Amino acid sequence: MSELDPIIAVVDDDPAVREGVCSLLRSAGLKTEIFASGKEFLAHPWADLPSCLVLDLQLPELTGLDLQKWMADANLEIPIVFITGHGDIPASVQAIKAGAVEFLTKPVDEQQLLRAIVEGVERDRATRGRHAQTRELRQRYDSLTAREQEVMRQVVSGLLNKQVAAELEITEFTVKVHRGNVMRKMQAASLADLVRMAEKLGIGPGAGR
Amino acid sequence: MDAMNSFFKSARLPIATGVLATAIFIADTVTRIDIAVAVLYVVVVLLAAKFCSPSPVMLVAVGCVILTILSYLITRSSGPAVEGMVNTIIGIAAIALITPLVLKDQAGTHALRQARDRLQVEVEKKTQQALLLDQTHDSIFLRNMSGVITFWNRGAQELYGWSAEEAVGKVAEDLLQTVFPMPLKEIDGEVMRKGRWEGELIRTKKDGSQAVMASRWSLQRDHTGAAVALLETSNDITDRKRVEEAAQQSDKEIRDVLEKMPAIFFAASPDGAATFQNRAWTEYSGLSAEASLGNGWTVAVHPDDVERHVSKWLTCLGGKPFEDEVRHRSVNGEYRWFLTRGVPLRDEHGKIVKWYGLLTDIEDRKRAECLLAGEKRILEMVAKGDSLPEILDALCRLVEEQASGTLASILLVEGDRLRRAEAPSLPRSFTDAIGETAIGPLASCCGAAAYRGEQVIVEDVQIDPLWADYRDLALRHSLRACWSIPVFSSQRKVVATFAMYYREPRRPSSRDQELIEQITHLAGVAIERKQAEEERDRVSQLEADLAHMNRVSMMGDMTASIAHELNQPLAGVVSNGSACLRWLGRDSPNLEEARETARRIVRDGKRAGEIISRIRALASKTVTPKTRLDLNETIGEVLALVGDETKRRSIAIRTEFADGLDPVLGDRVQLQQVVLNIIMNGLDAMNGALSKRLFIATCNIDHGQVRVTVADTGTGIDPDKMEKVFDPFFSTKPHGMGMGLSISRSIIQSHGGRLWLTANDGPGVTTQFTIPQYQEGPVE
Repeated sequence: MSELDPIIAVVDDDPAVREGVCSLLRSAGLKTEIFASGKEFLAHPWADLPSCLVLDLQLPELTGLDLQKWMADANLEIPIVFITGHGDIPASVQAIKAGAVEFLTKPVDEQQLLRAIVEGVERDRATRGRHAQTRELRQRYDSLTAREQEVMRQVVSGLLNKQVAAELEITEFTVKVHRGNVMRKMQAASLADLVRMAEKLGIGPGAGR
Repeated sequence: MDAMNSFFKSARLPIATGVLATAIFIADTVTRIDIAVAVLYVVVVLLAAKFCSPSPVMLVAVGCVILTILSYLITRSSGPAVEGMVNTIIGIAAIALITPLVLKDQAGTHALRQARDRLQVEVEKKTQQALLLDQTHDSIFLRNMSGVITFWNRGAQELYGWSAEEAVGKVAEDLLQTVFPMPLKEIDGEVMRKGRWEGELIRTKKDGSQAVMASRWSLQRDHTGAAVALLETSNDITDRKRVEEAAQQSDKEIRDVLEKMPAIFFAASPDGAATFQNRAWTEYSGLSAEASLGNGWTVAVHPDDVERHVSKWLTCLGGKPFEDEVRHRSVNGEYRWFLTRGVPLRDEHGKIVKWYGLLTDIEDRKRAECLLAGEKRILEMVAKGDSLPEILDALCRLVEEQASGTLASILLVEGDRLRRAEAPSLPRSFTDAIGETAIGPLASCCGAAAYRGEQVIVEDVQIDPLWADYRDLALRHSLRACWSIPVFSSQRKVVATFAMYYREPRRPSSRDQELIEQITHLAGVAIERKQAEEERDRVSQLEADLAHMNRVSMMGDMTASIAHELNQPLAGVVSNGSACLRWLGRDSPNLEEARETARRIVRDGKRAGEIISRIRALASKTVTPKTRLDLNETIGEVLALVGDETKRRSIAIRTEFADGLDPVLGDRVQLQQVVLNIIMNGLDAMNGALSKRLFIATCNIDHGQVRVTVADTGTGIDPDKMEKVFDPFFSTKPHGMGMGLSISRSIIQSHGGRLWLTANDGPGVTTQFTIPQYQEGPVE
């Protein structure tokens, strides 16, 4: 195992379950971290490593679904493998919809669990890759001046230079200068490229950033 | 001078005799008197005999003859020869004649003198003796054969009062007014025959008082053997006699007392063989005095007691005082309890010479003890919860033990009839034939007793109209008397009848009545108590059934939660099992990890087992005993079961369990049922509520109580329905059975606690209950 090996978080209020799962994962050569509740999990400083969360659906206070929602809201995109005592169909539907990797019932089948975790880790790796790209673009974007960012938002929304100048109440020439800077700083080969980047950054007309 | 005098005195006679002889010789020789002067020599011989012993007398006589012859020879020449010769011959003849006479006389006189001397010695001896006798304290007197007192010692004077001067010379029996124990002739005969006599005499003293004398007579004879006197020695034995008589009297009295005393007395030899039994024994046992001796008495000992009793008696013979309780058969065959006590009598060396003993009839005491013990036994049976038939059976047997010959039966009142309950000794065919009896004035003996509420004594079944219906039946079973007594409850209600049957006509004695009184009272207590108990059991069984239903129905509601609770450890087991296999299946198996996982498998498996047993206990119908419980733990187990349910319903549970909570005495299952009921009510009340919080707390409160509080934030209960929720079948839930709180309250009450509901200031209600804390020591 190396520093970059994935870490599997197990959250279950029942020690029998979390220790059992943990032991199983360790026997499969995985690193684990165990937590008795969602709050405990959230309070933990999360290393920037590929990971996967094995989460009990019926947690006290903050339930598994609550935690999933909370993480989504917090952009914490750790893949979740749900485990539950009973095959509660509405809950499983909700969980899968919200992006859960798998929804398993206890007692959990070893192969299913490991397969789901492997899938989750893979998914996390992919997400991480994606996120790294976005972070790069964001850095480029952040290096733009406020005016350049404004010009970029107008350009990617499909406005012509003249229209941009009118909108910003500046000269067309100035727009061109800014646009040139944007293309350079963003390392965009073409306008289409820049539009794709804006899309990744979630930038549209009127967006704050 | 005296010697000289006495010499002359004693020599005077021989000198005179010599002179006389000389004078006679001269006269014979010189004178020519034609008479025989020589005859005078006779005088000389006579005189000589006075002072000479026989041989010298003979010499004197011979001398006189020679002198005579000499005188003749001298005178022959001068006188006529013939005449001289004749005179000489006459003289010699006279001497020769007189000398033997003199000698004979002298011998007689000598003998006489000797006798006189002897007598003198005798008298002196006697006097000496008499002086000695005077010194003794015994009374001694001598009387001659005519009864005249010749000697009277000082002892006699002291004894009789008369002095020797007064007594000597009197006829003894006149003086002493003797009363002889036998005719005097016989006494005399014995004295003459044997020379002695001994006996007791009554004599009158000088002062007129009579005294008993122990007298010894001995006959005194002289040397010829002739009876001369009676020596009589006497002692006053009046005092001794009185003591003896008194002793005899007291002996007699003691014997009389022993014979007549109401207890049985015995004496035995050191080896334990009976040597005497008093009349009380022979009268009681019917054994003759002879038959009871040795070990004959043992035939009367109860066969069950004989071995123990006899061996105990024999062990005690070593010297320990003997004490034992034993049954002896009386003459009429009845056995009665006796307390036998024996003590050894020892001689001065401590050797046991005899045993004395006493048998005290303790039958009545024993019976009272037995009755008391029996009563105690029966009350214990009642308290212990033995079945009524068992108790009544024991009661009948107690009566039969107490009143020998009786056959007891108990009939229980059931509506207007009497049902046979117990009759251990009555013939089955009899009780079966009677079966149930109606209660009525003339129904039957027992029916009448129950109807009248008083004793019905049928002295003789043969003639009593109450037995008209069953007479033949009773007689066929040789039952002749029947006494029926109603048994009352404490409310004076007849609950049963108690009957005593006898095989002979009979009326109850006062002792019987006392027994009846006690037994019917006891029966009343037992029956009432048992019936109340049965009623209580029935009700509590009903309650237990309802409680069980409630539990089962709650369990039904919680199936999902329970399944989840059970699934958790199973999940652990499966995961750990898989892990274990993996650890072992590696190229280099990790045994430490495998061992750890296996340990967890065991732990989780146990936990699953515990959950199942808790669930089984909750679902079980059997009543578990109350034990010392920690309520925190008890409630914790319930929370484990409902945990999943609360999670599913998104209900937050907050607990506040007091540290150091006092233990309580309780039925775990029942108390968990109560907590479960309250929690489920709370969960149900919070369906659709905005805030879903359940608060559970425990704490110690005053008066040795523990309180449990469960508060919810549910919809609450209308204030007017607050008490109604405890009514059975009242429910605020659409599908509720309406039993939960009612059952919970009765469970808490049976634990000696209280359960109540209050409305919260905010939403929801608070349910609380209290239970007394566990007390060390015996619990009712």
